[in-house]
Amino acid sequence: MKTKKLLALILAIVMIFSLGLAGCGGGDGGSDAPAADGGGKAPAADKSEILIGYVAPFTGPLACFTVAAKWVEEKALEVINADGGIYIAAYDKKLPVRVIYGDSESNADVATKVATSLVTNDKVDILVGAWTPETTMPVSAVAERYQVPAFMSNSPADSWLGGGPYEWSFGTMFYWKKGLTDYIATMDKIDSNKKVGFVFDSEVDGILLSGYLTEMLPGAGYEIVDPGRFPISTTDYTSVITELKNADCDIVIANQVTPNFTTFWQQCHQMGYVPKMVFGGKAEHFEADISALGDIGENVLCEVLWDRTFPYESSLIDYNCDTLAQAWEDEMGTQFPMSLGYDLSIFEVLYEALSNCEDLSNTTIRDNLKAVEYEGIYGKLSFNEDNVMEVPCVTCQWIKGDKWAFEKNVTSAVTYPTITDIKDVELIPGWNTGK
Amino acid sequence: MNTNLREQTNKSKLTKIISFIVIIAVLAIFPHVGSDYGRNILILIFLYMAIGHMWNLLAGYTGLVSLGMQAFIGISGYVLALVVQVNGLPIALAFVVAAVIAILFALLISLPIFKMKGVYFTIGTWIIAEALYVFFVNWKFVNFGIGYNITAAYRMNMNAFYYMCMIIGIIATLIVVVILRSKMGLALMAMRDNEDAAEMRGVRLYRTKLFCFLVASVMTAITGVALYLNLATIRPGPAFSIDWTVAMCFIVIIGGIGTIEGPIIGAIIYVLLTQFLYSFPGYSNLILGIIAVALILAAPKGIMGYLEDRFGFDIFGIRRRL
Repeated sequence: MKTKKLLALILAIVMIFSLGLAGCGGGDGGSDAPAADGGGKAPAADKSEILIGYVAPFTGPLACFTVAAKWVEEKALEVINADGGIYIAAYDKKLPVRVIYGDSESNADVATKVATSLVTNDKVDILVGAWTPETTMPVSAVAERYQVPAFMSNSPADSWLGGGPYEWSFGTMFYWKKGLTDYIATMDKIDSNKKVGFVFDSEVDGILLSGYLTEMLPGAGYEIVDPGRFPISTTDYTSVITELKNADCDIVIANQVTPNFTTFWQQCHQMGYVPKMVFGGKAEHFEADISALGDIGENVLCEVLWDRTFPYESSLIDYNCDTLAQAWEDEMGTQFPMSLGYDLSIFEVLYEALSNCEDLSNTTIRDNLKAVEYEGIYGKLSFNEDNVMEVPCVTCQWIKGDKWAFEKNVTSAVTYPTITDIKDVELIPGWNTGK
Repeated sequence: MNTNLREQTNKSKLTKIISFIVIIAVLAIFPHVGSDYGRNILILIFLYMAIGHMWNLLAGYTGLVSLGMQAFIGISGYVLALVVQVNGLPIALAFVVAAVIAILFALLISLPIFKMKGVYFTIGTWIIAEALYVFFVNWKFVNFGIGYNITAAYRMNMNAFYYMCMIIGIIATLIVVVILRSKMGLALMAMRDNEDAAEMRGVRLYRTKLFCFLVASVMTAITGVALYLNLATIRPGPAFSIDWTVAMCFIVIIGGIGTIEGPIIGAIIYVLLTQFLYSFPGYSNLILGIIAVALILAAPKGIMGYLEDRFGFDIFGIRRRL
């Protein structure tokens, strides 16, 4: 009986200890969510650093997008913290910037939990959510709930805005409609039968893009062949390919995750269907992915969100697009990833906002974030009424390269006339629609 | 001698009651004295404890090892989004609608899956959840794979939400205690140990299984609404992900399958561990897996199973003693 009592006591202590442990997050009195009038967090009496909570998919199927995140952070913080950090008048001193990473595991639910932990436990001053709606939408939801300023990077604005209107969240984003305008401009460059086959899954981008293209293509003189949406888990595209082949489509627009597009494109070749032009939307952003396709990767098209040929210069570090890409290649020994631009723009925008902050209250940071107007690695940027800083989404083609197995050519940028280094588009080698 | 034993039992009961009251009182005042972070951790513990209890009721007592309980979490999350976000109706209604739909859905799927036994039942439940994911991704009514941000949850009073989750956790615990202390509890354990023998002794297998399945489904769905109020964003992938059931398994197995205390201990460990592991981006799942394997090897019956075997430890008094 004594043993039982002892164990009951131990159990009770363990439970209470767990509660105590859970309570060590800062002891701010367990307030409700801040008032909707924009109260947010008041400035702390003293601070020793500015904390950025950075949630991104460091693991999982979207991890390819974060390959350059830490490399860019090192470069950016080296400059920002070189002279002690950013001067904040309320503390009458410079505060260094520190980044705490949270891994969304490419999963929206995990992104919410990680962002909540960064806000309530680590007490970050700003939240960052980067790469795809799977991370940006939940991180924005947390920012709105706790009224913490948040900056999102690279998420199609079209889908991100579905979770708004946002008071505390801002983002550097592209609009798919503009990206698709460049798709069509590239399609217009070749001689085709104007038949376009759709290969879209039932995920966010697949639904959005198929809807937009259904509106846009007939007006541009194209006929659509749409086998319908399919689950992302699909591994056999026989019925889809047969429909496109039977309809004699010269052009195929796909939007899939990389492994799925790889399977689809290989099965096309196996079935003797090679259209004149194929878009591997979302799938072929990186040289490693296109190289994995081997020879059949040649002349595949994709949207490009940043490129070394863009005519912009960083406002923060002494690089333009070309020298930034070169620095990566020299240091890392691999082809530059297009994520470099977005990764750097995060620190550029945050630096601009924080440099103007008198104190570090949530409202001050938010208001200064909203007021950012600057010229950096994406050219001249400011936020529109939806809290979006619009950046380019143009079309590129993967051609066989000299230094790397494949290199990118921008084939159309009609929506961004400042991008002028435009190359001709090539047809898929050995194209044969099976007819 | 009997009087002494009765006195000791009464004392032990009194100690337990006082302990419970103290713990509940501490939990009740926590939002007013603790941190936001602590409150969020406790919210997660209450909710994971509730779904852990329900999975334990099925797997630990009824012998129904389901890998498809995420179906009810996904359905209830979507009910919340449709009721609150799409139609602008009160959050309370979402709980009612989710419970009703969970009962109907559980009744519907019980017809085929209760004809399956053992591993076939397990796989059958998993396939149903996966099929639901595919269905929702292609269903225009629920916005395909795009999902919803539940904006009403942005402005929720988090202290009120904390108490709601605490009540859900307590109700889930009480449901299991009441069931297991009833005649049905005895029937369930008999059924889990040997279905044929239990049936020979008069246990109505189908009715008992169905009752537990309905209870677990409804309670999981109600908890699912609260989970998605907390997450404030829903998409079919994560909503119908087997990760939910993996979490339930982890909680129950680590805590102690077939014990009431198990899911409570398991939920505390699971939530604190996952919070701690957020500091190790890229390695968190690996570390969680290693810890799970190590714990299972050290205590195959879970922490509470080990304590029960070693010390006869039983807080909730559901064991029958001869």
